[in-house]
Amino acid sequence: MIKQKNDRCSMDQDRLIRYAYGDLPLFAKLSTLRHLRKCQTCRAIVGQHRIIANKLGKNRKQSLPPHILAEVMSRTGAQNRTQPIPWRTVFATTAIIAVVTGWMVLEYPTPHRSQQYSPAEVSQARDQVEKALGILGVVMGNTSQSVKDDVLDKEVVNPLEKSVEKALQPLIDGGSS
Amino acid sequence: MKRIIIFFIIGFMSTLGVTQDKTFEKLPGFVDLEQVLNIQEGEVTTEIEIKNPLLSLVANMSEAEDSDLAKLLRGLELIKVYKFESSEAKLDNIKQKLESLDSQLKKNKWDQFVKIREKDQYSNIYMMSGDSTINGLTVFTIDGNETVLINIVGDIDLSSIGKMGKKFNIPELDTLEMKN
Repeated sequence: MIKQKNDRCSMDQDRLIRYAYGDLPLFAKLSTLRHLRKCQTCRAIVGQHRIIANKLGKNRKQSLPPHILAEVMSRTGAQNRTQPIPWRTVFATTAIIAVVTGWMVLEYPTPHRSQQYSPAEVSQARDQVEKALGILGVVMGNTSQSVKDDVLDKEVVNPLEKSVEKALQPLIDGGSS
Repeated sequence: MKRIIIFFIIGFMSTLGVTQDKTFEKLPGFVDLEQVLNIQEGEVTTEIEIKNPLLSLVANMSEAEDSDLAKLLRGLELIKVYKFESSEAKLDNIKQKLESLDSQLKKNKWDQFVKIREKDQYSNIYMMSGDSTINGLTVFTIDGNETVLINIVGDIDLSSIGKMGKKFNIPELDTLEMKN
């Protein structure tokens, strides 16, 4: 590993070389890219390595024709090598899935948490529940009575008064004349 | 890469912690009564706050003696009751706060089914309806100088409340007039 640093900035040269060859993981690649936007010296270094990488790439492309490769493979009994498992990607993906799933599950949680209560605490809680329901009963009872009075006034008493007034009005008028 | 994994694990753990603290606040029938309590000055004469799993334990304890109470409590997540007295001057502030809560609750799809505005009595009763159940009941009343705030969160079985009414003098909810 080359741990040299540039004269003008603190960027690790090994990282620049790996960037030029496309060997950096995603997040490192993004942070290097961000640095390169600002640093001309590092851009020049990466540019030089890119030229070399491209030349090497062209040479790499010169491979055996497929029919010869197939013949060699069949004669030697060799099989295509399986790709190595990209553990980093697997771990990163698992972590992201765990966070997203956790967030979604906990968004609608069930509040049953394991907690220990003594029988005395449960008994006290029961008294409190009964007291709470008692208060609810008193409040709702008062409200219910007010609603009934209100409804009685609006729906029965007031219309009845008007009807009686209306019925008695001719008599009152006749009496007065 | 290790740093990224550690970052995600820490993020996950912190999400877990924060969510557990606010578990009840996320339930649909929850109402933050603290905002009314914060503006009153007098002594809170009654403060009841019982959460699950304690409510389930009370339900289990009551099963043999009072199966209706047990049935009612089994679906509940939280019972909060506050009762306090206030000076005349503070009552106006409390009424203003209750009015702002009223519009907040209506925005959050609570149904108001009782609204009383009389000289000595101020009452608002709301229900939060789920698909087939009642998810919350909230009551604000001011009677004279006394204010009562109640919030019951969870699956509320109205038939159980009706049966409980005989014991605790609670009128059947469907006999009260619905206000829009």
